[in-house]
Amino acid sequence: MDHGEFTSQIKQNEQTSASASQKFDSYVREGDSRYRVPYDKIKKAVFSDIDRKELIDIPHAARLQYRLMLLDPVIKARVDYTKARITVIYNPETADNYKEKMSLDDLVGILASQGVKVDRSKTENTDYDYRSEFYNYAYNPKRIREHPPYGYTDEEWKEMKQDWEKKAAEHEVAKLEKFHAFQDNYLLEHQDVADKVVEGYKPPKAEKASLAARLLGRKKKQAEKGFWFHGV
Amino acid sequence: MSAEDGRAVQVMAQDKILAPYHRTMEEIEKLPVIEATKTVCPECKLIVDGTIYKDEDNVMIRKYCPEHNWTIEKYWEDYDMYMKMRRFNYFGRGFDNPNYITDTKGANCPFDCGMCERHKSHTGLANVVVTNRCHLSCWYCFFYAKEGEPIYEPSLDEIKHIYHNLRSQKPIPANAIQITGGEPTMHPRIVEVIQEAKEAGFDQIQLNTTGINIGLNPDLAYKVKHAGTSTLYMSFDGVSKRANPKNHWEVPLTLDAVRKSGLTVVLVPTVIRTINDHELGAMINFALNNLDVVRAVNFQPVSLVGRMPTRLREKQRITIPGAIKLIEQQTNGVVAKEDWFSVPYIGGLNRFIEALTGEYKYDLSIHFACGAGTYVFVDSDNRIIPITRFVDVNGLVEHLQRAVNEMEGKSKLARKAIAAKALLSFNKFIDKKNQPKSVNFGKLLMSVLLKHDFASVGKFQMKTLFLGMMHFQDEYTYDIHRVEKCDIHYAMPDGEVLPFCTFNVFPEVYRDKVQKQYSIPASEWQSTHNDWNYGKDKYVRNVKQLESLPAYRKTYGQLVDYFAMPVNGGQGVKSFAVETFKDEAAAKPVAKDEQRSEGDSCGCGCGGEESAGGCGCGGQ
Repeated sequence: MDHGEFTSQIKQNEQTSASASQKFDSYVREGDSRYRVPYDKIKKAVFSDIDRKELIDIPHAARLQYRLMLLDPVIKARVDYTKARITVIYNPETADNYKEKMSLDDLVGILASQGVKVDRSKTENTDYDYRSEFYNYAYNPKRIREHPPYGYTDEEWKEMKQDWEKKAAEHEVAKLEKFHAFQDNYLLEHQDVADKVVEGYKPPKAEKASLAARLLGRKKKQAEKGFWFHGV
Repeated sequence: MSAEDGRAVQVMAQDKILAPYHRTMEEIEKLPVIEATKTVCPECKLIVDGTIYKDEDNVMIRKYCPEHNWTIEKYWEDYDMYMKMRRFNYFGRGFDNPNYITDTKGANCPFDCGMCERHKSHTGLANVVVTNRCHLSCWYCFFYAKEGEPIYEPSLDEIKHIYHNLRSQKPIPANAIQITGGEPTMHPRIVEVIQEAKEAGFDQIQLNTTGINIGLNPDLAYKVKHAGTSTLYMSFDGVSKRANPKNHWEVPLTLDAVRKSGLTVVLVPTVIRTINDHELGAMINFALNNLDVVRAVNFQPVSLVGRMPTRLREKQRITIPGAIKLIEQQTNGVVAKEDWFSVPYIGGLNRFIEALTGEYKYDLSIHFACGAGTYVFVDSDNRIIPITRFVDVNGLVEHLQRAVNEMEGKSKLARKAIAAKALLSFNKFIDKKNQPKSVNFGKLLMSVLLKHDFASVGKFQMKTLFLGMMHFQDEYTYDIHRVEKCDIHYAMPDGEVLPFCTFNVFPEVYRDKVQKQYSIPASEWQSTHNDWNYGKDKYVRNVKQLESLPAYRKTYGQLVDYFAMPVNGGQGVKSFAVETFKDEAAAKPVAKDEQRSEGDSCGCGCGGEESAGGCGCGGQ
């Protein structure tokens, strides 16, 4: 296989688009947080008019998928031998970002170089929102099933689950409290370096007792001394 | 083939290590088959059938690609051990909220990775790459940005996003994390990166580092400990300079900083045949000498990632049993082949606790060929005792598994009765006569099983050294049955989670591809980091100065050779001390003060009890 011709073409596109898309903001903001997400509106091409024979067999289809993934502008590729379908999510020339780009024609050409002829006119080449359809999904994947703990049936787990969730949440809070207590103790135990560990660290002052407590304390102290026994 | 080549092949066919590579296909096809799997052609990545077969003492894998012919590779270097470990292979639960549902039913595995619903283990250890910058440029490392390459260094917000993703995994959120790089301590906000991991709820935080920055800047040790680091996962490829040019000179400083700050260390040697395989015993000895801070030695037989000449590959290949056999030789049989068990053994213990309590526990359902381990104890007479000498680990795990099976579908009361019955017969698996004097293993296990007191395990580890083996795959040994059970995962910036052996074995479509997407071009990095240049990142070592430091002389010059003591076989380990100090160290083969037990003294300073046959330490 030889991608040479196409990769050099893609590289040229990359160089021209890098300077052209200065406006592209590669960051997504959520509240105070800012995440670098390299793509926004890209394309998804689905080729379904494929002669299965051209895919040869499942291992060759998988290798074609691997080879498509080698291309920088391809974000994801799926080659399904059983359904004779190829899906490619790619960064098109029209995209407003500074990453490597390719056109649908490039893609069709690459597939042809791999022995897979596709009819460009029958290709579904639709917009694909990388941020909402890919990135956000990957960060919030849906739950598709539920495994109960070992030794328990699904029915038993349904009854137990709520208690377990409550317990797990409480455990998380307790864990955090324990960690913060550890941090405080650690600084107390390592006072010599505490200000280097936490900038501006000041050891906690002993709580100042109220006037009443101080008077009572003094009385108590005196009582402890048992003044009427001493020196009498 | 020339006459010279022919002679070379003949010589190799007679060499026990190289012979399995140099048989004819006719001979190979007659050898007994153990199992069939799926693998990839190392040349073109075509998914092909793999056959795992027995070749004398070795377990080999062969595969045939119609375009690139046969590939023969060593899979495991001990057939008996392979069959023993295989008994405890089981499927875990994978993810209830995977990244993908594969249309192809896994037919394109490992090129569909992301994580899919077919994966069979949840995340046991999550790796998060926080930078690809490194202060070293090791020739064999594939994991750092070279000059002019894009910089991948996610911001704190992005890292928090990744943490949240890992903690949202179902049914078992990732609970152990390894912060890695490049060199993670080069991330300008590394302390916050660690603290945020703790705040996100991770219990176990490992910092995968060369230790150099911590050794040279001890304040950093306090900072990372305070931020929540549990342990440093530190490269350590040997005791001698030759075997460990990476951080040999700085390790003493790092251990000192670790000691003072209350951190602990896992030493991580990458084992390469002919390079450092003669120092495995010496590395264990080094760990025993620093047992106050070293919790484990986790040997990693080299993963020959990337294309390499066949002969070099054959020469350097070492597998888990290969390393284990060398350890047996180099420790006078004190840590023997029989003392190791595969990681899924421990899963048996966790499943028992889970079935008893109804609370999810870590699965550890990795493939048996991926990892092995054992615990060794140093008793008061300096005798080194592996756990298997007083616990029947096989019997115990099978016993617990029977109880788990029995519990299914039973009422709470019935479960408790089954558990009580199982626990009452527990002692038959523990040989109290042979257990170390300082350990009551039965009591410890009871507190874990009944009170689920994992702090006891922590205390238990204080008296022991864990020896581990983790063998990552490469294109030659690739076995899809192994990768689908992997539980060491990488969390990627695009939200996907990948098994270690797809992330690193096919970097061109996973690791490098995605990191490149999310990285900053070197020119942009330069413009936003005015003071930065590539050269400034690199560490320049002053060998003379480091060698003159008291910490260096103490660490390597006062090493005790545990294996030279008669109680441990009496034959010392090779390269146990730095050449310069060999004479000094040999002159005083006694344990350090802090390792002596109180009261027991034979007068030689070893701390051993005097008996008719002497203390056994060899001291005069």
